[in-house]
Amino acid sequence: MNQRIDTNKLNRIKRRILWRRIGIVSWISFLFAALASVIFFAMFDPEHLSHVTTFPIDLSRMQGYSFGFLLFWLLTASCGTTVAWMMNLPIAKLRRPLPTLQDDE
Amino acid sequence: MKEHKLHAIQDMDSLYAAQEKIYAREAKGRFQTLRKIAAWILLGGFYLVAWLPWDDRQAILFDLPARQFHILGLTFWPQDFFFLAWLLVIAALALFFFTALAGRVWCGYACPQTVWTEVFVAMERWVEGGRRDQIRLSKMSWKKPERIRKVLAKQALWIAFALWTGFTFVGYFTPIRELGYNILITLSSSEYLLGPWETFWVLFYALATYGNAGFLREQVCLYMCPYARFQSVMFDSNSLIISYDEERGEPRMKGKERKQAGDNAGDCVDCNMCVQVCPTGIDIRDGLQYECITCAACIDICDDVMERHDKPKGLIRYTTENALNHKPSKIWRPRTVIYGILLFCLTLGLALSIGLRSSLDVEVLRDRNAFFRVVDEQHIANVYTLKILNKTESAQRYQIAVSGLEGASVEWVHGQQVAAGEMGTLPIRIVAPTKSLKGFSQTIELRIREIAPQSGGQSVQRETRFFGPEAAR
Ligand code: SF4
Ligand code: SF4
Repeated sequence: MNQRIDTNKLNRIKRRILWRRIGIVSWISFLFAALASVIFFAMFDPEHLSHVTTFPIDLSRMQGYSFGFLLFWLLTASCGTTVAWMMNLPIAKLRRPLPTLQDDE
Repeated sequence: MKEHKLHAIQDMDSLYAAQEKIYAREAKGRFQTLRKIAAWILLGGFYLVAWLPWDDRQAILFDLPARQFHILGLTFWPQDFFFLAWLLVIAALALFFFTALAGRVWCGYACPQTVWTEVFVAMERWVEGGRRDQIRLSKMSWKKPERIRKVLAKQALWIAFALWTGFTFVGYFTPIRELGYNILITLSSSEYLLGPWETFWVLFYALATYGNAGFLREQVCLYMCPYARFQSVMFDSNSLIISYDEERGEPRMKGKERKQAGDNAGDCVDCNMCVQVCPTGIDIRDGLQYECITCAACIDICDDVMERHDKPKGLIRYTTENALNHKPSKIWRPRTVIYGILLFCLTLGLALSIGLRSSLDVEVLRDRNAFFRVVDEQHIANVYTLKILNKTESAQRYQIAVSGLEGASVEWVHGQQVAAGEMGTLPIRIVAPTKSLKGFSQTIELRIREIAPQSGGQSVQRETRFFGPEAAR
């Protein structure tokens, strides 16, 4: 039972998990940012909003929508990233058998 | 419980590990033809409809800068947001309904993810050849000109197509002819006519298309799509699925073993074709799996194989769990009946309310400073502000009639016109003889009507209160 841990394979899996999470977070946060923008900009006209901001900004509608959307995305993506980060239990806690050289090809 | 969890983690692990690049074999057959037709219609629609004119504008234009959505002859304003929300509810319900009825047909035939992936895969096959050629190419050294040539050609095709997709997408939000013209000028001269945000969104959408359809492909379905995870909730044993007929197929055998077994062998010749064609890399013979996007490639290829072996088609087929268990499948069951009725009512309601939608919207606000003003010994005046939203595409003049108060007359304080698509704030004054007042306050009705020459003469009615002195009489 001399199981040697294949670190290469382990790293590959880790990298894949990481990329998959990045994919999930960016895509789902994109969807919700889009939804938020639609609702928000149906209620408020960015052209009017830019007159009442604390820091005066001069935005056309197109810029307003784009910035608004990107801000929403930043917000939802930060939230998603934090959640994903927190959900990620330290690997040792899971005590799972690690992949060995034998089962690789 | 604990063990269960550990298993789940290990499963996840093997799932993560299993995902090497998949080289799917091409399948041909009736369902693949159907999918191709669906792709042509959907993508053809997407790329062409943007160019469709309607009167002197684009037929479908979500004109964000002007805050108006044009869909054929209809124009929607932010005030019509409600319709959009309603439409989304209908879309969600439709997805529930069709999933309960026909399983993941959406995934196999209509999802943009699938459809664009199909195009990218077709381009790849066109340049690099079939599965075997692709694998051979992937093992070839980068020094060989063949590999460089083919990879460059494929990437060029993909990038061009992705850019065109991004351009078309943005063309739904800003007039596409103008956009195209600006791009042409920008490309052919040093003048930069394209707005920075337009450039950004074209590139963004192109990148998203390239990444999702060229690079990630079915991984989007496996790991990123919420619907793929939720759809099992909408399923029941009467929903259409793609399944392997285990009773008929097992025991699967091939070659010599098969000859020896004679009649005892199942119909599955274990050729592994269904696995090779599967874009998600699963074996449908292992049973229903959430990875299956019901692309039906395995049905088509297996039918081919069965035909070659002189066996009846349909070893893998569209069926239901009930049918596989020799029970009757029902199309109409409480779930589908309820979804169906709801869907029908909501759609009808939406169509009716869009059809009957009035072209003006009015809010009546009372003057907050004074209840009333005395005009002269016999007359009292009340002041109101009308907020009129003109939803038509031309300037409108309005007319007001008062009822519920004898002898009352209306005066516009600053005009009675509202520009196209604007919300006008128009003060009015209503003057009535003191003697017709019946007390301190009473309800009156205002009817506001369009009177511009091109208007449909639509009108709305609003109630408000008219105040007078306590001892009016
Ligand atoms: S799983 Fe999701 S992304 Fe994939 S085809 Fe179905 S709906 Fe589309
Ligand atoms: S198993 Fe599903 S995804 Fe795979 S080929 Fe068959 S229908 Fe397509």
